[in-house]
Amino acid sequence: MSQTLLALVALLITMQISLVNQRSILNARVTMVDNEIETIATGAALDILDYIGSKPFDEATATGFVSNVDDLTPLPFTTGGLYEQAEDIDDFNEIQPYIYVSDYEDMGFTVEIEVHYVDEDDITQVSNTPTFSKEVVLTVSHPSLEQPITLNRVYSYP
Amino acid sequence: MIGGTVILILAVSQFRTSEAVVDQTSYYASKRQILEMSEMIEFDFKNIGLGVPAGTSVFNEVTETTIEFLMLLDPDDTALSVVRYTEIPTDTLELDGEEIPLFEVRRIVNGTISGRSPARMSEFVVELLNVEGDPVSSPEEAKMIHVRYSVIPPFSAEKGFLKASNWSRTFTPANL
Repeated sequence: MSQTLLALVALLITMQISLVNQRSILNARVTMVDNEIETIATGAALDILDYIGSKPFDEATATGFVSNVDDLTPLPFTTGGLYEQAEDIDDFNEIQPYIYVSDYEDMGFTVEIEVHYVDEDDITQVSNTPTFSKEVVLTVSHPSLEQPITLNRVYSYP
Repeated sequence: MIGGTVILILAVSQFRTSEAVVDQTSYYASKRQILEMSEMIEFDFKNIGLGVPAGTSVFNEVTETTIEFLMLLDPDDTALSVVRYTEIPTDTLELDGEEIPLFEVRRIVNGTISGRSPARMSEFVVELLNVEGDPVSSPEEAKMIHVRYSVIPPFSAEKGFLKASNWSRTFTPANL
C-alpha cells in the first residue's frame, strides 16, 4: 500500500515537472513570435518615418525658402486627413488611422501619428509657437503586439 | 511499471526541452545575423545615388539576383563608388517536402567584397517602386526601394518552430 502511494506521488511529481517544462517551451515560443512581430512593426514604423521625412517640412517651404517662422503653418495643425493625401509633415498630424500592410502574412498594423513643433534649442520640449523643428510621434499597434511601438523623430528646416 | 513510466516521461520531457533550447538559440542567432546585415543595407539604400550628377543613371544593373548602383560612400569622397549586391548559391535545403535553394548575399564595393550575409538566406528581394509605392520596371522611375529578406536558422530548420527569420524595409532615398 505504502509503495503504491509512493509510486503515485513519484508519478505526480514527474507530471508536474513535465508540465513546467512544456510551459517554459510554450513561453519561449511565444517570445520568439513576439520578437518577430516587433521586428516587422519596427520596420513599418521606420518606413513611415522615412516617408514622412521625404515630404516638404511645411506647406510654405514646398514652394520657396522660408526664413521667418511666422510664415510656417500656425497651430493648431489640422487633423483627420488621409495618409496618402498628406503633402507636408504637419499634414500627418492626427490623420485617420492608417493601416500599414506588411508583406509577411499580410499583417496589418494600425498607425497613428502626432506632429508638434519643438524648441530648436531643446528638442525634448514641445513648443506652442512655430519653430523650424517638428517632432513626429508615431505609434504602431497590432493585436499580437504586447504593447504598441512608439517611435519619434525630429525633422528640422532647412 | 510506474518506475518505468516515470523514467520515460522524464526522458521525453528532457529531450523536448533540449530541442526547444537548440531551436531558440538557433532562432536568436539568425535574428542577430539579420539585424547585423540590416545596418549595412540601411546605410546603402538610404544613401543610394548620393553625389550622382543629374542626368546620370544611379543604377547600373537590376536583375532578380543582382543590384548595382552608384553612390558616394562618404560625402567627402571625390569619386563615386560602385556598390553591388549579388546572390551566391551556397546550398539547398529540403523543408516540408520542398527544396529551397540557399544563398549568401555579397556586398561588393568597387570590385572588392566588403560585406556578406549569412550563408542561409532563402529570400532576398529588392523592388523598385514609384512615388505611390507601386513596383516599376524602369530604374529611372524608381523613387522608393523595398528590400526584404529571410534567413533559415542554422540548426533544426526541419523541427524549428519558426522556419525563417524575416526583415523588410521600404526606403525613400533623398537622391532618387
